[in-house]
Amino acid sequence: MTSEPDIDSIFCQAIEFAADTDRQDFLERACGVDAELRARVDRLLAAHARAGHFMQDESPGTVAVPCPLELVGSHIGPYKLREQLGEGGMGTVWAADQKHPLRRRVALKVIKPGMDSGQVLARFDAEREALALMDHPNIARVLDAGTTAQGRPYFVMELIHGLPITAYCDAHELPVRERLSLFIQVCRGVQHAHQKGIIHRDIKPSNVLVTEQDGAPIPKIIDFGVAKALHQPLADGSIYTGVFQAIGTLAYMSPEQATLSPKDIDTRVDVYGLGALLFELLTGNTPVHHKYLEQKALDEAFRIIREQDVPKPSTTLSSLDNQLAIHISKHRGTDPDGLGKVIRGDLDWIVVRALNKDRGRRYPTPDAFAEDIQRHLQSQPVEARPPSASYRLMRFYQRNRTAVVSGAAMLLLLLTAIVGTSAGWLRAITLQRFAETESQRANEETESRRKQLILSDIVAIQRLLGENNIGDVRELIKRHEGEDDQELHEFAWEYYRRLINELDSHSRVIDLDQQATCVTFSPSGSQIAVGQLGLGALSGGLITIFDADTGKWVQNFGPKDLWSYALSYSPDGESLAFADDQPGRFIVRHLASGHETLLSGHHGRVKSVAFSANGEYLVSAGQDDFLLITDARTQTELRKLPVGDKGVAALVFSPDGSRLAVSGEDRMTRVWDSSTWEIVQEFSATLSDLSHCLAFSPDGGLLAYGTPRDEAVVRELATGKEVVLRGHRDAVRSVAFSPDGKFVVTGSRDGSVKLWDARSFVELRTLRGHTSFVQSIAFSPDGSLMASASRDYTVRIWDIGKLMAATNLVRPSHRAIDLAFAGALDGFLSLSTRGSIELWDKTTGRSNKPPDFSGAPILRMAVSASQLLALVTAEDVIIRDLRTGEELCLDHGGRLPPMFDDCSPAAFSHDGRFFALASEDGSIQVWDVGGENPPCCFNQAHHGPAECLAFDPCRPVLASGGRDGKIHLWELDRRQRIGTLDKHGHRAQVVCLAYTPDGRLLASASFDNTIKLWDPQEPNTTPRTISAHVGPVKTILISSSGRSLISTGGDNTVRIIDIETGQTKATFTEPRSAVCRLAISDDETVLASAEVTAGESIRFWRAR
Amino acid sequence: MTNVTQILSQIGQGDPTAAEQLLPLVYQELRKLAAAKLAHEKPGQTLQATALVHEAYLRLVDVDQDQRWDSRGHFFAAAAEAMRRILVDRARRGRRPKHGGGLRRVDFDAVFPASDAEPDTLLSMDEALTKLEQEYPEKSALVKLRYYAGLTLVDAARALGISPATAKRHWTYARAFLYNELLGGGS
Repeated sequence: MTSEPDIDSIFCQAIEFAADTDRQDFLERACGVDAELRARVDRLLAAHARAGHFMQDESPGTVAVPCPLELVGSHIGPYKLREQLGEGGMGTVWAADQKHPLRRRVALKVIKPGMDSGQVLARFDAEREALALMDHPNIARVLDAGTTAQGRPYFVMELIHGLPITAYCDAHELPVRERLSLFIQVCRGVQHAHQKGIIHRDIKPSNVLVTEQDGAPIPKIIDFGVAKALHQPLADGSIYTGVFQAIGTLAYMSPEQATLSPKDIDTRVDVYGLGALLFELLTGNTPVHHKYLEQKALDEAFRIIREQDVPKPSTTLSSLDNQLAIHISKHRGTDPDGLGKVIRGDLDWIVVRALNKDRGRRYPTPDAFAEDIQRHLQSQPVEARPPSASYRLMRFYQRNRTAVVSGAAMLLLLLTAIVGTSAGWLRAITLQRFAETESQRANEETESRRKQLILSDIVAIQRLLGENNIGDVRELIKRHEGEDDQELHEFAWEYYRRLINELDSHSRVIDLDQQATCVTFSPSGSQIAVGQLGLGALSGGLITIFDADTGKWVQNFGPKDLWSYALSYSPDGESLAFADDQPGRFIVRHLASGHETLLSGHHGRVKSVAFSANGEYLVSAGQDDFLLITDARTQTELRKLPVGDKGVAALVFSPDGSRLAVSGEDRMTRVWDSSTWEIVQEFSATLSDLSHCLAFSPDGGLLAYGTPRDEAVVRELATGKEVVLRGHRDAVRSVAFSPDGKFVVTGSRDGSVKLWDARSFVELRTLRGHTSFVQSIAFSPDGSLMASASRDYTVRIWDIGKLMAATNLVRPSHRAIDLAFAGALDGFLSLSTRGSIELWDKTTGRSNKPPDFSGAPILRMAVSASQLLALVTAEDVIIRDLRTGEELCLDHGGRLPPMFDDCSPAAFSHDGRFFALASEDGSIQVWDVGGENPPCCFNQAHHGPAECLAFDPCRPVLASGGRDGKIHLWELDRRQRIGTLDKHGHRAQVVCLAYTPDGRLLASASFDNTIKLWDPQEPNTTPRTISAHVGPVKTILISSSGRSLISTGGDNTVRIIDIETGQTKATFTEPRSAVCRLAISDDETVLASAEVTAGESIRFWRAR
Repeated sequence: MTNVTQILSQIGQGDPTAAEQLLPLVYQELRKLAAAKLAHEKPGQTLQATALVHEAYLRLVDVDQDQRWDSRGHFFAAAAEAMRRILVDRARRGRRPKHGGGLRRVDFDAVFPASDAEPDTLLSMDEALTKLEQEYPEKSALVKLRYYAGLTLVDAARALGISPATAKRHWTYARAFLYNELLGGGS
């Protein structure tokens, strides 16, 4: 028997057809020519048709119980079954005749299997006496209970010929008033039972039947005592019956019953049940949609019942679709508008009160409930009032306690704001807030989940980038494409996305069949020759020529078993020299004709071969102890040069051909003068062991080499001075200078390619994309293209123009001590140690001419969001409007207090109204730039000078952080200190402060290595601490969304941190650069940092 | 005694070995329960397989700790399988000549006198179910939960983590499948 995937669905669809012809048509289509499939479906359909009651009663003990028809006339206890009245969730109801002790017709309810009948009966017996005491016209009495021969419990009760109350009312199209009258009778019946100590526990329409006596409708409540008997009492701790029984009646279940082991049930569960019943009588719907609950897992359904607020009946009505609303209203003898009017107001509040989650707030008794309805019918004011706002607020907080903790500040703000205003306003605000919160809660939950997903992907991206696993990073980035989440607009994500986009737009890939070991451009730049590592025979040979512009394959040749890492074009580009796979030999191939010249003379394998610059001779080296110089035209040996006894690792000519550098396996590097063949320099690699790659700078003055460690070295040949390039994570296997001499490129075993500034030797950027060793790097002669060959079976061609379109690293004329973004100038302003200001274009990073800032040296600057620039000199504070060029000089009473040596803390308020400056003498001066007020001065603000200042974006408040580790808050209208943030505060000086844009958080950076997040409205609360840096934290910025914090510290990292979770979203490490200042462009696409130690440079990170 | 609640919690935490420990425990408990019933109940008293399963649940599982429906699902799945084996075992022995001579065997078989299912029916049913299990594991799990553990369609759906509508479709199909098998229709 083979499994046919769609037989299941064909069968299920087929049984839906009522007409046999339709079904046949369907089967023709669905099975097509598959006769076997058709036969199987037909057999199943036949079985389905004949199955009858097979397994309908799904217990093996009752498999063969006869069908109901056959039960008619049979006995259960003393009762003879007459007709089946109905079948419900609980069991089957029969009309039966009782003969003894008296003849009467009764209703007999046989409970479905799954109950322990002994316990059910025991519980029923416990209530039997109380049940017998009930005598009320609206209650159908329960007469007896017992067990069937199959062990199922049954109940015997007064037989009511009637319809469930909702069905009855609809059938008779009873208007709301008449429904209310009937309902009041139901309340009276329940009240009576309560007085006898009986709780129904399961009030619902099917348990309230309406019969007619003398033409008048009489509601009768059935099943008193049954629910109790079926529900396990608390004492024996068993719950499954409760669970199983619950299913059918969830929609009417009170919150206190909505648990797996309901405790402490009292009469008020019936008040709730009555409320739910009234809700349905009025609206035709249950308070919580039945279907909705049924789809949920039980505990989820329970949670909804316990927590989800019940809507007002009128709200439910107005949310119905039109057709349904008309239908429901028609059953109530009116239209949707009319029905809404009747229900809105009193009836809304009456129902809502009965359905209160807190039973203490429900009507205390069914009678009280009935009386309030009576009052409504008599147009008297009802007792039910709108639930008080404070109560709802309280419930809201009970339910959302965790979520609310962060919202506590909001609440306090709210509460503070409403002092002195009317209670009505309070209610309006809180209710509105409550409603908004309710509706937003679900959204926020999914949002927060999505954010978590993105954050975890960000963590993964950081790891994958470290492993150069670009493919997976690309997948992760793609995963969130098209999603709309603020987190995806934050700097970190945009940065990663740009990285991938840039890789695709700035480089192209040539796919190879083998791992690439070396790459070189032809002298014209039109072709690229790629050597590959191949073991075993390969049809075309292991050297491939590609077209440099298109990447198209041109030809294949060479040895089958290549192990050389060097290829060399003749200067005219017509020939290519390469090592042969046979020991002692190398080959010069004429590319156009394919003619190959075999050269020999070596003892061991040839490793390297190179044409001289004039093309006259070839130099080759290998496993033997000499260099072989061969005449390129005559192929005669010119001379042998000894190079040490261990062989040669790499050799390279200087661009002008005057020098030849050779690194030996003996760890010696020798430089020959190629005209005299004398060694002009010889050095052992002091900083490293062996170099497998060598490169001359275009002017021949520098020699760069890679090392088996994670370093590359650049040596100034004239002086012997060496600079180490650190940043790779594994051996440097390739090195090259750009033809313009501006940068050095290194390729590493770690799969990355790094570009370094050839003056400062600071890392410019890392190029990722290869997934295995980068073995070789070559530039096109014009410097427009760079090729990197990797063991990942690719060569990547990089567009240098695009890569360098925007510079990532600039060198100001003097070291920058401060940095600020000026939107009006579309660039970053840097202030140098010499007191001069430079401007750097946001997009290109290149130097732009700054506005004229002539005059006294500038000691400090600050830019407001409103584009006012403050310039502090030793004598004056000048405010310049960057948009208009207007200037004004701040009044300082003739003399400014002494400035810091380096960079005095200064701050501009967001709106540009206030400018503050801290002085060495410990004072803080605040100017009201936009207003008329005289400047104010806070003297001795801290023990020692203030180290940093920040303005609250929402209030006229200035925060200052001091060398004493404290943060003070200064109110600027009243000109006084309003608070100090020092509870669990910093243990060392506070050096930077930043507010979130909504002013709800103040972040502080300290030399105690931590960042703390404070609630500035609540100075006494404990701050959150973020310990992301392993050294002192120096600068912090907060993104405009308030979600990300950008910080830099003594560990020489720049980190982007998620404020909510404290998680690091991106880390930029610059091993040789101590970042002292940070600034970000107003659109948050460019982050700039001023670095001190290595290059005294300004670096840009771009997210777009 | 091994804590069944603990095992359920382990299953809930994704411990794949935990589920295997459950079946023998439930199986033993069911047999023990049946034997105890036989010893203490009045002669003629009947006992339903499904009621037994539910009672076993109450005895084995610490319901205060176990509030999750999914773990309950695991229990009933194990119990259904246990009950299936018990019934099949009993049916097989019912067809064999009695052994043990005239000795009165205290066997819980005797507690199922009211089972209307003939041994042959039970065994054919078991065979058919095995076939269904091979082709449609989820459908057969549903049948077992309903047939042997007495769960309603809705409860069984929850235990399996499928929607009631899907459960209903599965049930309809499984029923036709099994009936066809019992009729000897095969496929």
